[in-house]
Amino acid sequence: MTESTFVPQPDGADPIATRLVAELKHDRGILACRYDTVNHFLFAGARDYFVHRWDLAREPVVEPPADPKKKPKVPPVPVAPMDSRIELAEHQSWVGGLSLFGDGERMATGDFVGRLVVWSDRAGVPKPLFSFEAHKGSIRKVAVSPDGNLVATVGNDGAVRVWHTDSASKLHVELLGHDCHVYHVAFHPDGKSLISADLKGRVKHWDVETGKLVREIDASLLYAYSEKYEVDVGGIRGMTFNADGSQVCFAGATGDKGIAHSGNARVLLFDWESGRLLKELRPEKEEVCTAWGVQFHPDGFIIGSGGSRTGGFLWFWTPDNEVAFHMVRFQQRAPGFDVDLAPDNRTLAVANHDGVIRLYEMSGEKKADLAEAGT
Amino acid sequence: MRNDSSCNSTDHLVSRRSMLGNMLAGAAGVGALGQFVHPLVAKEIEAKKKQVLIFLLNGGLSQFESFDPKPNTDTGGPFRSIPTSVPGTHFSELIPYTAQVAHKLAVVRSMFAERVPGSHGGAREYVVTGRPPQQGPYPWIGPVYSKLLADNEDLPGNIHITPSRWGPRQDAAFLGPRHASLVLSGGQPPLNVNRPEVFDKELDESRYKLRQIADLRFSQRRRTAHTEAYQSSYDQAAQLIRQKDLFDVTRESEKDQLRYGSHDVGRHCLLARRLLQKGVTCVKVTHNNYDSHMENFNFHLEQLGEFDKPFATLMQDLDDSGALDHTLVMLVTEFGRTPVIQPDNGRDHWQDSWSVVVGGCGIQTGGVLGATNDNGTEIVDRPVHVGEMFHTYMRAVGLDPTATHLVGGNKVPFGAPERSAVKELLI
Amino acid sequence: MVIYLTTRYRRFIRCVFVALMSIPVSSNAEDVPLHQLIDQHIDAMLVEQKLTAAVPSSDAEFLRRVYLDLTGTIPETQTARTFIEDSDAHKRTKLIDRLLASDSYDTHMAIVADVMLMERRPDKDVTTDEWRGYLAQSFAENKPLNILVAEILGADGVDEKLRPAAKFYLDRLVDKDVLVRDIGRLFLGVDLQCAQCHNHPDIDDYLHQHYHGLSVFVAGSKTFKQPDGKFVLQEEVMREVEFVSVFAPNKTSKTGPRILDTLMELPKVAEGDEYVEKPSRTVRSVLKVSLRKLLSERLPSDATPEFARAMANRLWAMVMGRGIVHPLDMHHSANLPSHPALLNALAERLMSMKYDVRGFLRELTLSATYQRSSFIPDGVDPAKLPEDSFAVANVKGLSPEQLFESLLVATGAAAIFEMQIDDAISEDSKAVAADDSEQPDSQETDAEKIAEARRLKRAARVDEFVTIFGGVPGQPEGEFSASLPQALFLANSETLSAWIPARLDNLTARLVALDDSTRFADELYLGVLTRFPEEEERTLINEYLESKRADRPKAVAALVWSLLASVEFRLNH
Repeated sequence: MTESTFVPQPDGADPIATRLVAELKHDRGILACRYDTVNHFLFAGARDYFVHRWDLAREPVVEPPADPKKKPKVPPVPVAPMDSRIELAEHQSWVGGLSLFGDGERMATGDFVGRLVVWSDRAGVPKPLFSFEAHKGSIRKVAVSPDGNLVATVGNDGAVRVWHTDSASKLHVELLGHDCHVYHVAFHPDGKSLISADLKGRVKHWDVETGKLVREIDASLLYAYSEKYEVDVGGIRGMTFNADGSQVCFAGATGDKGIAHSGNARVLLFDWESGRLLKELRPEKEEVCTAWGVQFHPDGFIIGSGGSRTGGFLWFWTPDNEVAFHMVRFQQRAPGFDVDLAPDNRTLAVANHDGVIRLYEMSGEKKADLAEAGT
Repeated sequence: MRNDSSCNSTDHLVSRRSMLGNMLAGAAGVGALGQFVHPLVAKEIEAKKKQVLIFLLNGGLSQFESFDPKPNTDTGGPFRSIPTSVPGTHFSELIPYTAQVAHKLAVVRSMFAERVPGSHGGAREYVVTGRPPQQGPYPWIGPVYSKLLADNEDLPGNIHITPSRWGPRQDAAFLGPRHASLVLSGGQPPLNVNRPEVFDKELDESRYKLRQIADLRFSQRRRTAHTEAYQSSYDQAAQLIRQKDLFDVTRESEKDQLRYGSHDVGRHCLLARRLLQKGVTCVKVTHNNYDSHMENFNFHLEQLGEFDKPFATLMQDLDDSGALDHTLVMLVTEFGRTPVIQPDNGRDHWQDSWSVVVGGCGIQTGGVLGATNDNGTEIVDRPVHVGEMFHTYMRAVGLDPTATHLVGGNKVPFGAPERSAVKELLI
Repeated sequence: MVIYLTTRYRRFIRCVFVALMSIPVSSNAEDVPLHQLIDQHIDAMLVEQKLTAAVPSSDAEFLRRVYLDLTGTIPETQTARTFIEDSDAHKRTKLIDRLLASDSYDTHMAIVADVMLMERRPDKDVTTDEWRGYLAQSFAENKPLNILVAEILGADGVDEKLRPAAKFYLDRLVDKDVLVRDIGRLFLGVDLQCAQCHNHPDIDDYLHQHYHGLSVFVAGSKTFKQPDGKFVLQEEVMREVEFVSVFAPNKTSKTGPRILDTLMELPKVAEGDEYVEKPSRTVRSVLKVSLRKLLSERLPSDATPEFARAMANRLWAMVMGRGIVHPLDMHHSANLPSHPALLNALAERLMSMKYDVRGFLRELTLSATYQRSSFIPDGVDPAKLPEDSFAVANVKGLSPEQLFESLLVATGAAAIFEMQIDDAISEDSKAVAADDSEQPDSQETDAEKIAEARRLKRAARVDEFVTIFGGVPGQPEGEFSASLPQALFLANSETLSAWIPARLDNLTARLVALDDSTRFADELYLGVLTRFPEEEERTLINEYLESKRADRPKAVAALVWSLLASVEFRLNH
């Protein structure tokens, strides 16, 4: 048994106290979610053709129980009011790529048939600034550069494309070299580097300005060729830099269990400078599932979300220990496909297969909450 | 059928002597033995001979990602539907090439079967025998065609091109190993097709002749069924050993090899074309694997991305050569996949409704039979049971599915007697 | 709905010659040796049906047949020569006794029993090796058949000595439905499969309650994983099962444990007091009254006459090429025995002989019925001589194992085969050495390890035969049939190609050295076909060899192959 190496800072987040505080309900599986750090919104892409926006200023409410006579065993979770969500139409397939500009205004989204949409006025009445087919086949992820001048997209056509955001569909550079579906893309916080990651766990580091391939980082632990089924399995599902860009994490699963089951959940922590694998982060007990989302917390720990049909999880690691120091197992047996950290650095939003975004607070329950739940 | 090779007639003593005479005279491959060892029929087979081409998409093809797309519904998945060569009929965007040959196909969107034991194996057996597996084993459809349609004794009646690492399956049940699929694992020639060093070509002929003489002697005054099947297996073996290039897809033109693609299923489809051209009665191509409990969309994209073009190319080629007139084509899978998208982006097994495709000989093509509701959770028009399709596959090539196999003196109907053919699909 | 059950080529509705059921046989059958009793029954039926029986087999015919049936292989050349030339009037009886006492009998019977009981299922928790070892030991001791079956049906896999017997359950994953079906088929001669969902649609006697009654015995059994990782059986309380017919979905019936029509009384156990060890995650649950144990006591015993009947029929089929009830697991009113009185007599004798397998097989093989020729009598149309008349010896295809062993004996390639195994082992160790920088301690490579490696290599070669010549896993071995892959294998396989060309002291090498044409032909035919050649065959050989003088060793090899690949070799006739 590994001892926890994490000690919460005074007034900092306390992952061990993580608890579910609210549900944002929808009827289709949620694939991606992002907090609007400027405005009080949460954006999401789902298994439908819309971009969804929840107004977080609207207080979640406790729904009356279905059977008023029965006292619920667990206190009911407050739910965002139905009318706190709006749907933005423009896409022609599921929306899996979602990235917000730092300007508080714009947002880029990509769908499974290759359409990229850049939206304006995201806090008001969002409208497409431009919308076009950026890839043949699915766009898996999109990323906005720190300065907001570029949007990068990756897709099933194996291409990485970087677009100017000042005019419609102006290609800054096309980065070719992946020989399979490209699953993820991210700008380095310095804005000069871009990484793209594919099904086979290969990460390419590009110079944004010149479009030159700088180097490759091998994260192929997250990939396997299934001999039995004659297919590639795995891929890099989640990818993120820490705030100063000194480290980068890749989320996915290791090993080949064929096409009916995922491998074992893993998050690979790399040193950016050297490109060296620092830690292969894993749950305390091996889980046959995939880590889909990953975030660095400013307090120095790493958050992963994932799961499979057998269960959904949040995991918490410190960078110095492979084994998660804490885990939250969801009530619902469904994976969390994405996780995002709220501007308060205490709340997590998890996009879940079951069509619900759940908000978790990494802090102890307030007395007032308890009293409220008890009544 | 072989007529006189091993009956109990005393003529054999005479014919044996004459054979011996021929053999000793050094006659190579001609003379009296010619009646046992036919040269391969190299010319195109006659148009009236019926052939069958079966595609088995192993693991369970998703109807949503292929022939019955439901875009923009809760069950539909991320992919779009695209128009096909049949006005008004749409397929998933994952099969654009197949969409272009849709007019050569008939799509059944309302297949169903009861759940049967044995998961994939059981369901697959149901589809290819038309009977619940727990009542069986019954012969699979390939062996049935081999038995009923194959008239060229020198070629295997039924060849199965499989992914690599597949061994032979005993799929002939009571029809006997004679009709079991000859497996070309990974599209490679059958095992043991190369003559051992010790026997050069001339000696090879001698040993087969001597072997046959020994059989003739044994079969006098004995029941002959065993000997006949035995002799026939050696006739086929001798032929295959001489005609190994039958399996050599590199003998096809470079242009064709490019058209079909260098991946396995491309090579396998071209090999299937070659075998049909050489006169093999039934060729089956299995493509692995569609059992996408996880990442259904990724895996269908990958698998259909391979399968779509060679399949459509083969359909086109068969049509261009006129072979489609006498070749029944079927594309089957053991079951469909759930409308509900599972937590790992997968779809599970679903026997309540799925799609199959038929075309070519005897089939009314260019249409869609049956329908599912808006989000594909149930059949709303013309349910078609797997047992009915088995009858249809028989009728299409002019066989009467209500006729019977004779098994140990007992009559066993070809098709499940409580079912009948789907008339709408037949010309 | 009419359901046509062909069920593994097996069939039901055959014309029933019920009229033939009562045929007068010897009045005081008790005193007559069983082999004579058999002949009386069979001959009486032949008279009744006006059928002509074949003449007695020649010594050569008998020798090959009895060797294959009792030891699983053909005899060596010298054995054949000696036997055929022996003038002792009792030589057949003596041979039968000698073979029944041989080690080969034990190992052959172990294979026969394995294939019968496991039907070539892949190994799961008990290896075929351990299982066959246990069976061979049982046949060596001539363990009574009821005891053997009781050990198998009562096994829990815990007792080390009897662990292999648990293969029957464990390798069927203790799946209730599979077990009920196979216990019915294999030990009672009835296939209850379709009585599972309703009373059997075609066969009135297979009642729904038979199926569910049998299932009570095994429905409480499950696997338990021991701390050492081994799976064993555990048992939970099960006293009766409820069942609903698909034809009458509103009607629920119940049955307690039942073997066909015999319902078992269960001792009363107070509720809550059923267990020696209660079910838990960590402990194997053990019942005070084990239903599996009850099954093992009651089924293979005189109390269940169907058991002796099924076993007698199986042993009969093993040597006679066909069951008196055929298929062997289809005993019901629409598929009656060909010789009902004989089957009863066989079952009774098996019981009175206390299930002595060796003694029983001795009687079967001593019978004139067994010792008939397989040649159809002159002037008789074979189509009018049904196989179930036993008027002519029925031919049987060699099992994969019989074929393997017989090819090895015939080619005289034992030494070559040993070298093939050596080569394969040294290939393996080279690969290991290349893989491992650290050399394994050579002291550790003891004789036992080498023997184990050799055994595995040998088994792998036999498996090659099983894959190509064997039946469908989980199904009874089918009747003889020929296929293209089989022909290709015999013609070109690496294994066989190494045994045939002249090398060391193998058959071809011995033949090449023989100048005398008579001796050459004798040696060839005795070695491969266990008989002397006929005049025509001698002439053929001479003419052939004359024409191929350029490379005699290769010509001889082709000749040897032609007989090995002949149908005469492939069949037990």
